[in-house]
Amino acid sequence: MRITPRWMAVFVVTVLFGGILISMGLGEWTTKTNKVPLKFTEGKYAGENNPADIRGSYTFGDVSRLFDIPLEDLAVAFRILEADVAAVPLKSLEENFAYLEEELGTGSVKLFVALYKGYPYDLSGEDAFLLPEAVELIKQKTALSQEQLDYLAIYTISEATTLTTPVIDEVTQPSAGDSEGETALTPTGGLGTPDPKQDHEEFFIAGKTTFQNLLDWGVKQEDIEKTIAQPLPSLNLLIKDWAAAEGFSFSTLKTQLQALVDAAK
Amino acid sequence: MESSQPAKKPSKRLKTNRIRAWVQLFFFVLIALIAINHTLAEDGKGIAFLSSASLHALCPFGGVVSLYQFITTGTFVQKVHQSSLVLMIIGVVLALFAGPVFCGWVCPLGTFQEWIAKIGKKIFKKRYNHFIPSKIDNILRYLRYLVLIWVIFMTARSMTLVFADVDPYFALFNFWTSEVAVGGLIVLGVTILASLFVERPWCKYACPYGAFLGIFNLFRIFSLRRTADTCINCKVCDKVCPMNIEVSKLSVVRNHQCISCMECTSSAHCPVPQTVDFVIGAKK
Repeated sequence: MRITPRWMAVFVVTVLFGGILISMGLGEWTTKTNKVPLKFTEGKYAGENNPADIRGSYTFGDVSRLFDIPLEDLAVAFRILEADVAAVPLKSLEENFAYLEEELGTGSVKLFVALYKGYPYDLSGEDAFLLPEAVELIKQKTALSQEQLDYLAIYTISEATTLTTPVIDEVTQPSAGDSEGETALTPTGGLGTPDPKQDHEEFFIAGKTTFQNLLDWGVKQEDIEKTIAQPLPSLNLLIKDWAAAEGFSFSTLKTQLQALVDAAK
Repeated sequence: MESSQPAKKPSKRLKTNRIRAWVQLFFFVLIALIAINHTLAEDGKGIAFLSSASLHALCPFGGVVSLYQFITTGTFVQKVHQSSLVLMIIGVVLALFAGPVFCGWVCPLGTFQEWIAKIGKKIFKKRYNHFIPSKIDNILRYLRYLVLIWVIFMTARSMTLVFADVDPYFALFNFWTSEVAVGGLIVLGVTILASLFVERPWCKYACPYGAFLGIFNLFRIFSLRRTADTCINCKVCDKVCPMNIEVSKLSVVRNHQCISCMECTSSAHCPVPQTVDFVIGAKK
């Protein structure tokens, strides 16, 4: 039996849409996440939801419900001032905090939830930063290990970076085609609109500071070499990465190098 | 008799496979509208009667890469939903019968490349789609299996949709959103550029889903057969094949690159009736 293009078209369309209709009838056609994260399969927390599987499509309401964390704490930790905190999707974080040099997004929520709840969490995975108030909340709620404290020393977004930017505020902006304006989320702060360049010029060592930055900020090469007790490595290397590779505590090194930066200013 | 005969000119004007073009256009527009509606829906302005699903939910390859995680944990890779698994099953059913018919008739990225190819054909005429020496080309055709293995392995290991970072299909229908990875836009740009020289370059050399479906050509139920007795050796089938398969040298096309587009068949370009056909069972 020959199959003509017309029959092939009918075959393709019928199987495709027929299959979809059948799956709909069986309740198997879902195009949105069911918002049920993976669970811990072993250890003390077996059976509990695993924050490592939190997804950007979740809202803060979902996180609150799934991990039993008060919405108020999530609002403080991620500076959400909107009336309906529960409705804010996690994936909006990256956009709202785009002005930060460090990435604050879904990974940050995973980290926050894990540390807040005292769950085990692989700190060697993605770089996840937290705001200082999130770290404060975590410290109030749970006793952190030294490894976790070291991690947070590196991955807390510095006050210097956030000083001018902080809050996601609701403001009304006029827009084309809408004479009454529309509500938009805009980062605002006590000192005005954030200026990323200004953040870089604050001379504070953070997770993304390189050795080149230190030289640019006026620190002498011999002073750096004296502090790290080695010849200067590749200038584009992140100090935190170098510290991790050499087995140094970044927080200790950061303090020492920051003293050099302060002296050079 | 077959190729030993001197080549004759096709006896009638070449036909075109217009119905495929319409089906392709339909799916392209459908996916484009859904992608736009997805963006609108995120701002609360979506069109109610149209799906606002994310493209990840409508990509059957999501089902393929999620399979390992689904079997081991019962969950899907991030961004992938149950609909992807359903579409994967549908794709497999289609492929079991007709091979990668999804690639040739449905995939909007394949369609998009074919549209770009029309420009390339106008510029380069007969040289179009024949720039790469066949020896190199034959080797490059297996690259997509490496991509397939890499994507499945990395997805299973990381439990994240690693392919999203380089996916030109997602980039094509989301280039206006911040969800698109730079890698995806770069791959899309390269694909568009390459389509000016080679027909369906992404499908030929890199598409992991095409690689997966291509395997079904080895045992598909509908077979693409050439009748040597009536073949006039005009090689039109070779010329019109977007995947450069030399149909004129085969009696049954089992090539893993065939996309079941039917352009080579007597219902489309082959000038001799009932000479190259998709058939069920043995051809009379």
